[in-house]
Amino acid sequence: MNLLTIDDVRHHLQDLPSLPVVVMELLGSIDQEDVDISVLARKVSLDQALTAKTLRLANSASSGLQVRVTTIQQAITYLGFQATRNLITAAALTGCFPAGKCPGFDHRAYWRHSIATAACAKVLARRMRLNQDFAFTAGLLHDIGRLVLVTSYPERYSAVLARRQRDDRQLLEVERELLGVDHVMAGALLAQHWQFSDTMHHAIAYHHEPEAPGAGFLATIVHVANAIVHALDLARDDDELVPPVSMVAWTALGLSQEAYLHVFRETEMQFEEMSNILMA
Amino acid sequence: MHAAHQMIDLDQASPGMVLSDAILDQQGQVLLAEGSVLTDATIAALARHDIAMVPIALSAGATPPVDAAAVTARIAYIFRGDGSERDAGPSDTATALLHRYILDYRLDGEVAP
Repeated sequence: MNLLTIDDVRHHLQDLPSLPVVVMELLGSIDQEDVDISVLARKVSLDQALTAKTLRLANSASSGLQVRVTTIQQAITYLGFQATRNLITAAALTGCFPAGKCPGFDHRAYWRHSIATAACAKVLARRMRLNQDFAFTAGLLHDIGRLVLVTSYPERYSAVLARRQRDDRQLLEVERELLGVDHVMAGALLAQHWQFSDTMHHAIAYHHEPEAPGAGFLATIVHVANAIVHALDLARDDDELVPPVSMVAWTALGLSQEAYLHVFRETEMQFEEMSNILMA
Repeated sequence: MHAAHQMIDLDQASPGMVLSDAILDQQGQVLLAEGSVLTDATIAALARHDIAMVPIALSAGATPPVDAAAVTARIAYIFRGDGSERDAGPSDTATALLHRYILDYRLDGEVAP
């Protein structure tokens, strides 16, 4: 079979499910501070399913709220705009792509991995005193290219998964060999198509090569978070395989063993709660 | 409330388990406070108050002991790509460290607060 080119993947982006407009606006504005919050709260509130899921997240113990919020506006008041935006994004994305079209692709495992990576990236960012909300969203979206390939090329991606399982190799290698493109390229394309900020775009594009020039520190955080989550076995994938961890990224974080043990613990606790709500 | 807890039948409860929440009687009076450690006497007392289920904190006392061999084997399997059979490039060191930390975390269980 012919290999795909980046342009083939780009053409198919039009056919992907679109996110609610309000979520597109949120993702596009992730590094802007001057978003009109009241307009946003109203827009989100129009989507009842999204609002309900967001409020359940906001009221879960991991958000640390002492009060119970019943509107998006209240969530913003008590949690802050950035944190609420994260919850909305997570709630919207997990329901957006159709499941079950690509044999061998486990949607639940995919989202378990993504939610766990979001939680872990947030925990790491807090330790590094970086923006936790960027890290959360970048973690959640880092593998979104897999969903692009699964949705655009379900049969071919199914073959990739079968080969990966048969040969027991890293997914990225098998994608490149059988498709000619990989989930990192596809994710970067989608990030452009959805007009994500450059910060987010780079984190997705470089999460497997954080040492590349221009990758940015967010790519380092997501790279290590991704490896930790594979290692913690949180996706419940029988064939779980930890990807190689970049020494450059590992050294850049400079965390002690004790710090990592705390990161593992916090990641598992936050993940447990978020996945219960998002995967319900 | 404890982050991790589990509702179990009272007849499954055993001395040494820790309550993740207070247990109230029909009138809303606290029978046992959150964090209480169950004893044979308190379990019997709960039965007399017709308490059927108790919320147990999932900590060392309530979780089954770790099967060290199985855990070690599973982690070794997850890390099977960590380069032990390939050239030892610079990235293998970080993967090996992560492997060790995860092993410590899973086998040791408790993390100092």
